[in-house]
Amino acid sequence: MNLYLDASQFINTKSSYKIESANNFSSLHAKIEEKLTSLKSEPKRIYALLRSTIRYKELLDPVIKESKILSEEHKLSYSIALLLIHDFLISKTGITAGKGPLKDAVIRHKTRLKGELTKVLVKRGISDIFAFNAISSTASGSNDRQIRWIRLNTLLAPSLPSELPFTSTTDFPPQPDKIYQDVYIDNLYAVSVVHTRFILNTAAYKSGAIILQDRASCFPAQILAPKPDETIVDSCAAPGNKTTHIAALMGGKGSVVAYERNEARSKVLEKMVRRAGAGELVRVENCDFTSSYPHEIDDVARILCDPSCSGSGIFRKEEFKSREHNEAEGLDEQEDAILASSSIADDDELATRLVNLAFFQTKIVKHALVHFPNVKRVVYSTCSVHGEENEDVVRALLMDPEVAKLGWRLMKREDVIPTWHRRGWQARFEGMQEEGYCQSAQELAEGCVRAEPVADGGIGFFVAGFEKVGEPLKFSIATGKSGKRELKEDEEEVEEWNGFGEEVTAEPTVTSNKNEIALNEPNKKKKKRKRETIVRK
Amino acid sequence: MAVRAQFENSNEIGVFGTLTNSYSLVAVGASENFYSVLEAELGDVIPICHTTIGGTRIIGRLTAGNRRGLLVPTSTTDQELQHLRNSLPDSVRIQRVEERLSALGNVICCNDYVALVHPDIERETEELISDVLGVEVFRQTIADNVLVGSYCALSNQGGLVHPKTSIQDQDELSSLLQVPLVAGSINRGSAVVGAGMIVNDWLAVTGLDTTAPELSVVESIFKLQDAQQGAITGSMRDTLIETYT
Repeated sequence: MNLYLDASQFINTKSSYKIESANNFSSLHAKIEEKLTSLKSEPKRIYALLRSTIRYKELLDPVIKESKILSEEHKLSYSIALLLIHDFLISKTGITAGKGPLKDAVIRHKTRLKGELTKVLVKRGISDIFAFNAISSTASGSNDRQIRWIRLNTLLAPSLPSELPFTSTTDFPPQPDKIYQDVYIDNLYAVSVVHTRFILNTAAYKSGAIILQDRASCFPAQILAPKPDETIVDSCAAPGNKTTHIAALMGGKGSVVAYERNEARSKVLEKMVRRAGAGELVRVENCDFTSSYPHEIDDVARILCDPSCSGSGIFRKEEFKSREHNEAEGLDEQEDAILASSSIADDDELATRLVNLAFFQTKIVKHALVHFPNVKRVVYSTCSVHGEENEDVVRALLMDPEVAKLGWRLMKREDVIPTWHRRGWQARFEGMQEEGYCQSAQELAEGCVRAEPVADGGIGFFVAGFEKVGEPLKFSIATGKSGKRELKEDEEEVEEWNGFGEEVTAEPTVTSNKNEIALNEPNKKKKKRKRETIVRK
Repeated sequence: MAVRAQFENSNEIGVFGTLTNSYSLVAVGASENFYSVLEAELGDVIPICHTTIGGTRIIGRLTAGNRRGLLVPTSTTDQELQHLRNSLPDSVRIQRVEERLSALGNVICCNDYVALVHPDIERETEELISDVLGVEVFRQTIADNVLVGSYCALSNQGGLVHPKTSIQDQDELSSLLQVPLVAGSINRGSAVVGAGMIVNDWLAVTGLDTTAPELSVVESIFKLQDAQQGAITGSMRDTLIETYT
């Protein structure tokens, strides 16, 4: 029974029939982590139960309503009833609890509950639970990971280890027992997800010769294109997949400074770096990138910025597994997202969260752009699909007077994996030329790389590269328009930006005006409050 | 096979009898003619039990049962219960049900797998139905009538419902029951199809007033008419082909 009691506290009773939105499992995860000490049963089981309950909630809610079980059984609260009925009707094992008043209360209604479930299914034209599964998974674009990407760590292994018994193929996605070599990223291979367990047990994996890394998260290092003997900075490095990828691209010559603010994660990063054989190359700094200046600051040629994001591009099948895996091994990019996501349940709060994240992301990239005198290239990436964290951040940075003064431009398509088909959202860049920026919206959008979750064979991702062309931009943004804007009151800004927002409404996600203002206007008061929230996270 | 019969000048066969795949109940005191119709069809196959329930002869409306069990109302006397236990096969569970809606035959309509019940039936009764009859239970109405037992005749092959049941309701019921349904009447236009006939998987007995079209609907929906033909292409096919090769 403890399992159900523990789990029930994660179901939002405040708005009785509301629960974590189904696609927001990361926040559910974070919530469980928060209360880890007070839980009496295994967090893994609680998570599994809650996930499954959320999945079937749309069937169970009408069952609870129609069967009137809550009015008959006063002992049962909605949340407990939902969990118990879920296990009773859907889980193969039934209710995993000893005899007790709550279990009895549900069992007393077993015939009714079963009948109502059948009726709900019939009403929806579904034959049984399995059919519902199939329907719901196709509706959400099949949440299953099909492919496991493997990056060959060239620091430790020159070619693919012979212990991987796969035959090569050019079909994508690869069938079981086949291995596919990627055309966009060197030394990257894909196998069917069914081989994951096998790969995790190979010596090559354990020694760090192969690394499980999604294709999309290989893009940033590829675009950064580090050269041997350069000095590179990775501003938000843990768990270190991209850091070691950079080290591998440099052929083991040069130096990489990897920043990680969180102490525990920086340990993971160190371990990961050592295991990948990049220990000599990479120096791990456990501090905040935005408030630090390395002693070799003048040498830094390229900076990778992969700050915390909402992680909306990550799909989370078997999340618990990979999470545990992360803790032990420091692999996979999911950790970023999990840590970044705070306990936010409502979609309404998502907007606020995106504003906060975008602010933080802008700050990091701006630091990289402004404070390193000799840096040539800065690559910004997120594992998010939200325009607010991606194109909007890029736009805000390009329009920033300080950044513009130094002559930063967005890299053109020919330097940013030109063959990749999915590019940035053009509508988010509309109107920049009118404000005096020199690159067209189409050019800017082409310069961004996007990856859709699942459809593009992996997680959702966004990458954009900044390049210093030397000459400062000759447009009035630094003095004219934006200077005026700074003086204005908040309300006026909103008005002014509303006119602008019309063009943006064509987007799937409507740009929040406030958000843009937050990006553009370092409003002192707001800034302070926001930083606090971020630090708390 | 569908046959017509009359119980003491009444066409409401379903009121005075119950028919399942493992037993049949008939009220006492009818003319020998009625009994002989039944015996001719069922005689050697399943037991026919002559009984009363609570001293009344409307046993079809007071009881509900299928192959696995029989539910009787509280008004059933101990003597009647004992008589039923003696006459019915041992595999049939007989259970007295304390239910306010005591005409169980009117509020329960079942075959061997599913039961439709009156929406206001008690929860304990619901559990008993599920336990004793081994069926899934659905609270339902048929064409807005709560007396599902009166307005629906059901076998494992098909079902006949109130003539004014909407197509949509028929579809929904049909997917709940997992058998084909048809809306129709019995006994020359009577809507109380449950009370107008008794049916199991190979026999239907309707009132003498039932018209030929009504009877042909009954035969086709309950799959009674071409049992022989069906068997030749179906279950007997393998045997026959094996013989000829």
